[in-house]
Amino acid sequence: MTHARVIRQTLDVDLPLPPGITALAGPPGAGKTLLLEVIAGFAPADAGRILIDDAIVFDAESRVNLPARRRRCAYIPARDSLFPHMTVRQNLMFAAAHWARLERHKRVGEMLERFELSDAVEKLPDHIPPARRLRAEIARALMTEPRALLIDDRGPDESLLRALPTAFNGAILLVTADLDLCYTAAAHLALLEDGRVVQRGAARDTIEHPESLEAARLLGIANLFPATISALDPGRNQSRLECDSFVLITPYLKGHLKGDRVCVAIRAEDVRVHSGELEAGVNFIPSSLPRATERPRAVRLEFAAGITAELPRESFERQKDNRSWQVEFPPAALRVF
Amino acid sequence: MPLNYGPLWLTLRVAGIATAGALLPGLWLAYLLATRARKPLFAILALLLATPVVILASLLLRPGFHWSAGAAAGALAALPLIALGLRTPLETLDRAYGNPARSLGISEFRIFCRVMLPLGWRPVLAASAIAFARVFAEWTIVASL
Repeated sequence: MTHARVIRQTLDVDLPLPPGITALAGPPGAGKTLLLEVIAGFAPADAGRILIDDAIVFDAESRVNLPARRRRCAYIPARDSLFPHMTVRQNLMFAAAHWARLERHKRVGEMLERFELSDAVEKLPDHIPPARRLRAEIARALMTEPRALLIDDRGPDESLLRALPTAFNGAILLVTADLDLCYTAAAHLALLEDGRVVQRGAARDTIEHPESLEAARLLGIANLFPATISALDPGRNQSRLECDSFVLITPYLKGHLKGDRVCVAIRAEDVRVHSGELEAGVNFIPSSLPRATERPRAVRLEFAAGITAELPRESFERQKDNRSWQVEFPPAALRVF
Repeated sequence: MPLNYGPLWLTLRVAGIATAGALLPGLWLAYLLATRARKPLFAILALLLATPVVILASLLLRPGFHWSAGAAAGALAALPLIALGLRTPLETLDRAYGNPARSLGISEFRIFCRVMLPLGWRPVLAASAIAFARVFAEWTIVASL
């Protein structure tokens, strides 16, 4: 088991790290790099306990604090750390110095092949592209047979992340801002804000079902509206929420009372857009469209009252001549915190 | 009139030997400062740097001293220049390459010899040149004591 319970001035984190990739996402200054440095042993913690593969490497209570070189926790920083005066092969050989000569050559060869670096072995790091440098760094880190792998924000590609769990079966903590990549390649996701874990769990589940306003904000949900519960009807499985400039109907909100202040969230891509002439249905809100911004695959529509919708280009092309607009918030897509 | 090169050679010899003698301990002290941030060590070196060579020399040397004793005094003067001058470049290198290397289980000595020295030779050269210049310039004062 790998587990980090870390407390220091700007950090209060309790994070289990199961085998496989755990992505760590959060805004700049949330403490992602600091957390990695504390786990690796480069920054001190005031309290807590860090276990790497069942071995205690830090325990404030019993004053255990192993130095970084004895934690067996390979750290790949946000900037290139391949030694620039050594070729890719020399970098790997340097990390594999504890193996006997023949074994070292064999392992380095295998690792270079596994990470598709065979054609770059005699090149200096400056002469290969950044994506391959990251591959070489990971290969070098794995030469030491670490118990955990910490990768700071380096923008790894999807194929590398898919290959990584087969090459290394320990815990991998990966800092990234790319939620699409988390969804595709990470097994777990932790959202960090102001040094605290806002939400953690299976990556897909966390991205699809934020549990708090902070998590929704970190996941980039564009529509967040403060609201007051004005009616609760368990019989009809309905709740009525009054936002600043419109009223929404959602499924019945268990555990809430009439008059509670809540926050309603809906993703921009879940908001439906209709012509103003269409007959209004549940959660149809007439609105004006002051701004539309073109994106590579979609068009972002910014309506009045802070409502944002995202439409595929073809769909926007069909509707762009609407004289008036109404947006629809499908009740099933609404999340209430 | 024939030129007297004797004092020049003597000064070059003293400055060269003093710099060479201060280089290795200075490098190791700089590495310690860069990697472990030892405040007392920094304070001692800063104090040594602030002390004029005349004072150092008058503490260490007696009238009619041998030039090698002067070189030893020069090494003491060069030491803080090398250690403090190299601290920042080595700190930068340590953050970039030292920490990842440490996480791979590599010993401090190997990191120092195989990573820091090959990557930091330019600052080492610059700090040595400044130390050499200081000893070279101030040897005259020491010699005149």
